[in-house]
Amino acid sequence: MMTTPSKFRIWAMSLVALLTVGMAFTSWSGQASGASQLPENYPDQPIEFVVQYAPGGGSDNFARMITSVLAQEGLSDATFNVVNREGGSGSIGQAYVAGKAGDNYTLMTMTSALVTGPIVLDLEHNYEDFTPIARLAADQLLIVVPADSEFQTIEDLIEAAQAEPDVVSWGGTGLGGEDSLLLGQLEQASGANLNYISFESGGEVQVALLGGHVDVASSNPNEIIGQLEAGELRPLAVAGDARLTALPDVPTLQEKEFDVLYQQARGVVGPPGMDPEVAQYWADLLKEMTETERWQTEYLEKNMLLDAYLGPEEFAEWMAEETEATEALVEEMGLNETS
Amino acid sequence: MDLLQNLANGFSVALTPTNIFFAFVGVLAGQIIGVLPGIGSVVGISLLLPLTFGMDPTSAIIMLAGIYYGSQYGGTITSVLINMPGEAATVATTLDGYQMARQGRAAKALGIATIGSFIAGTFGVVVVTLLSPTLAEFALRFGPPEYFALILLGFTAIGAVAGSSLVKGLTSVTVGLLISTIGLDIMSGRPRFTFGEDWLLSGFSFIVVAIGVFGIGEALDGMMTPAGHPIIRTSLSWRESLPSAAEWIRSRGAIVRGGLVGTLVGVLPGAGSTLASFMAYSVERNASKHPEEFGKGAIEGVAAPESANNAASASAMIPLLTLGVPGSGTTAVLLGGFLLWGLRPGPLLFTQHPEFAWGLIASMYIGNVMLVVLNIFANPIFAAMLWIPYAIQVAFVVLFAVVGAYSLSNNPFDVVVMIAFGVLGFAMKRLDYSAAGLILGLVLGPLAEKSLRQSLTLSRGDWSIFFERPVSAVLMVLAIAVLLWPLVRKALIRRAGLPGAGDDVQYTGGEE
Repeated sequence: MMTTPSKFRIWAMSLVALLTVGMAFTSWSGQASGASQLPENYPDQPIEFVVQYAPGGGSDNFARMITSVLAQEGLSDATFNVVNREGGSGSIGQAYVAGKAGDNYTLMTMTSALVTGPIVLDLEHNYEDFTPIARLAADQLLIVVPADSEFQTIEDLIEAAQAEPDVVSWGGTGLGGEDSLLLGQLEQASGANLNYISFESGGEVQVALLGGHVDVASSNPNEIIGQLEAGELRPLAVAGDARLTALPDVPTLQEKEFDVLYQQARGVVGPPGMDPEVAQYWADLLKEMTETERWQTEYLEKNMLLDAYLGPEEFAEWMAEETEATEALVEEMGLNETS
Repeated sequence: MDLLQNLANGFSVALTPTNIFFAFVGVLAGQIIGVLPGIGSVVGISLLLPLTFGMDPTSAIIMLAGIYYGSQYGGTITSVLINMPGEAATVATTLDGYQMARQGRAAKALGIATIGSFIAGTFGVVVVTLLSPTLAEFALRFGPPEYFALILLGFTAIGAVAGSSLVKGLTSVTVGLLISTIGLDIMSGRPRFTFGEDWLLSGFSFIVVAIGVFGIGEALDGMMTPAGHPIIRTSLSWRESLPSAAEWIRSRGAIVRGGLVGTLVGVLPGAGSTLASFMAYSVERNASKHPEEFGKGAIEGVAAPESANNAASASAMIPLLTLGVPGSGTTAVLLGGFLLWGLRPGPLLFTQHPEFAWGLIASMYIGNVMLVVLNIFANPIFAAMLWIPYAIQVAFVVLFAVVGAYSLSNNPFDVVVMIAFGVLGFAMKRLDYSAAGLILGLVLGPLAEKSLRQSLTLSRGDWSIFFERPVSAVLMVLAIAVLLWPLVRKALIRRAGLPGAGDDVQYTGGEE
């Protein structure tokens, strides 16, 4: 049996514990940024590479691949700490990086969600709050059906969806998500009407599709290569502007006279107010990296991504254009009506 | 024959000294990671993933999978000793495990958890070995209506976790359900109850709430109790940690049923070991001859959920290996690892990389043996932590809770949320509301809402979708039957009892 310790002692100890940890928290925000004119063998401190999504996802894979290629190809001897700050549809990590103004030792992954999120979800920080560094790759969206589906071509699917609205079901990862924007474009271009069913993750959509619980879904090729190879899923069309080299028989939507073009981008941005020279340093280094054999085969080819390098200025322009296009699309789809 | 050949090849891969070494590193790391609250297997595996870059993929997956199921063993320890679940899947274990610890039976609770985990975990691996393709087919038959019916069945656990008063139990569950509505509305994609705060978009993290309500709530309660918190010191004899003959007889059914429930539910992507552990707990209470002991230190109440979560962690590998689809947060990280090592999980994995797939399966047998040996010896040592004076213990509980909440996603808000829920947990404890009920609502709420709305969108508003499909219809009928069973039983007792006994009338009246 315990004797009664004084309440004061217990409180004091807990307080000490809390304070210790509290101090650890406050220290991260106080990281000073170095003086100007950095480059010339620049990284003299570890680089924090923030991934605003969970470990194991596409952005996580992207960031870890970059650090691994940079190291293995001897392009940089900087130390990278890949840090996942997931949650709030990317907003947790984005808010964290947005708060590190002028920090030259932080990088963050960028996906098209950095463009769409602020529009569809009213996220606080949009692409303008970050320093553009480079766009590195374009991810495609494939429209796929189960192997035993009655739909043999994309036209079959669209015709069925035109004939009777809301009968053909489309599994996706949430209205406002990229697959729903693709569907929105497709519906506008064809006058078809599909029944959109939201799931929580790409994996759940795949299971529903394989089990025949939904009729069709869109997916990044790398998520479903295993199923494509095994013949469990059948691609009907690709939403990009060119056929994929790995899937030469799969037509683009544009070829089929549907005015739809949807590609997802992957890139790297820095905190607001990063030194322009530092941004250029990374842009150049990443360009060099994208040209290596290792990046081309082990990342792009393996994940069926397109090489889509853009330097800082073109990258910023591209994000501005995308923002405009997305705003128009969201307006037409009525996604922002409820806000 | 083919199967035995494959498994033998798998063992020849897994039994090389290198792979035995990595399996041991994995289960040991998993054990430690499981003990640290908040740092669950997801965070643990993602921390170690970069280290596997240069490794042979088979050794890497053997190590990482070891972390995964090892953490299921480790997560039990804090649930039992300090009422703080280290993993979502061990919340159900706190219900009886912590009560056992307070009665001086901490080592015993850990012992039965270890034995149950080993038996059910190995059973899960046997199922993975023999029935992977069949169970993958089974998982694919689960569409939104089937999930909804299954989760409805999960809600029958309310009776098991409600505590002394059904009204208070239901209130707790409802509060949990309400909390679960905060965040992005999955169907419309719009933020709900976030008050414009971006950090609320993903809602309250389940484990942060659990650490707060259980760990901090209990710590506050202990500090506010003038006489300290009487915990009877557990005997540290090694023999004491093993169940007696009578306890073994009580537990063995729980282990078998828990293993079965865990294996089946674990196969379903998105449902996972947390649902499995709650369902197993509920099944056990319904099956028990003395349900009144549940929540007061019943040994089956520890054996059932612990068996279920380990079986589930084994069978969760099935969708990953056969379909290439992650069934849980942890297997999603493993999938990320596969891609980094240049392997493509999916239907062809077993034919294209048999040494990898079968090596992994074989290593899971070995890892489970390592874990049972490790734990049987370590349990009394862990139980000895309760010998530390309570004042010091409680400071460490708070420290662990804060570090755990923060490290989950490196977000300081989580610490604030955790402490706020700690205060709520303390109030609930004092007012006799069920903290486990709140957690149940929080876990099952989003799953139920999602699958209900998906089903009704698919059927365009027609409720008959739940009864037209065979699997869903069976589960629905089962769920309704289990939900109504107490009422039916009451009616039966009343009918049988009315003619004479006043006791029965009083009994039925007492529960209204």
